Amino acid sequence: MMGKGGEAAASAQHKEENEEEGDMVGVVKLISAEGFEFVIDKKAAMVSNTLRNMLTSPGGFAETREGEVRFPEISTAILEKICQYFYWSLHYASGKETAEFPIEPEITLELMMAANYLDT
Amino acid sequence: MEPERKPLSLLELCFRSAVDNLRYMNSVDNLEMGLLKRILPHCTLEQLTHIESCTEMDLTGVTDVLWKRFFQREFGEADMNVAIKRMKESGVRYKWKKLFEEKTEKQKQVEQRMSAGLRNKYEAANAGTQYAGINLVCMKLF
Repeated sequence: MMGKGGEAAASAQHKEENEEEGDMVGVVKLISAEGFEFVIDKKAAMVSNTLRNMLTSPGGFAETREGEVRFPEISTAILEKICQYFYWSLHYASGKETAEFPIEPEITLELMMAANYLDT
Repeated sequence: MEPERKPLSLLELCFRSAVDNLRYMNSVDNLEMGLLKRILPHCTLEQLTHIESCTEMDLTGVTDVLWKRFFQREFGEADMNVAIKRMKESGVRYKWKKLFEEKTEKQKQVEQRMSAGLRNKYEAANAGTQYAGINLVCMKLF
């Protein structure tokens, strides 16, 4: 049985979990260098540690408020591949996906730079 | 419930893809040195030569140690130590790529000299045999 302090702690933890869940709900718009917009689930975007920090930072990045992040240095083709990776990663973790994530040799280096920036 | 599987990071997948496709790699301009440090050590001598010739930025920071390794593999530890000693004595530090190229050129010249010497000796010996043959024919005739 939990005491009052325990209840408060549990409540705080529950609140924190809800907040975290709340952070994961909804969609976010990723905009490529050419202005192409990808609307993806927040949960998927948070596969990237950089995006996670941007979207959950209490300091209030403009990205957090507006729900959109611009990438002036990432081309549309690369950003599309990154979005595909986010969903692949989620599906793989849940066991729905078993195949390897394919990376075409000709985009490897550009994708690597973007992956490095996005910490993903 | 099944435990969650941890997928490989996209960065790790890119590293693997890059290493698998080194033979197709050309310029690595704009790539951070930290990333290159993970890729280029997997290159063969020919691949590294090709990548460096296609890349405008100076890769010495990453490739010098690799060229030193190629030097050691190609010419042996004794020659490598001689090169290190000479650099220490002269107080001048050369890039290992440059040392590798110069040593290769020097070796090529030695080989050319040796093969030219052998060719000359063979030709001289051959001419001698022919001369002896002609003498023999002349003796038979007269």
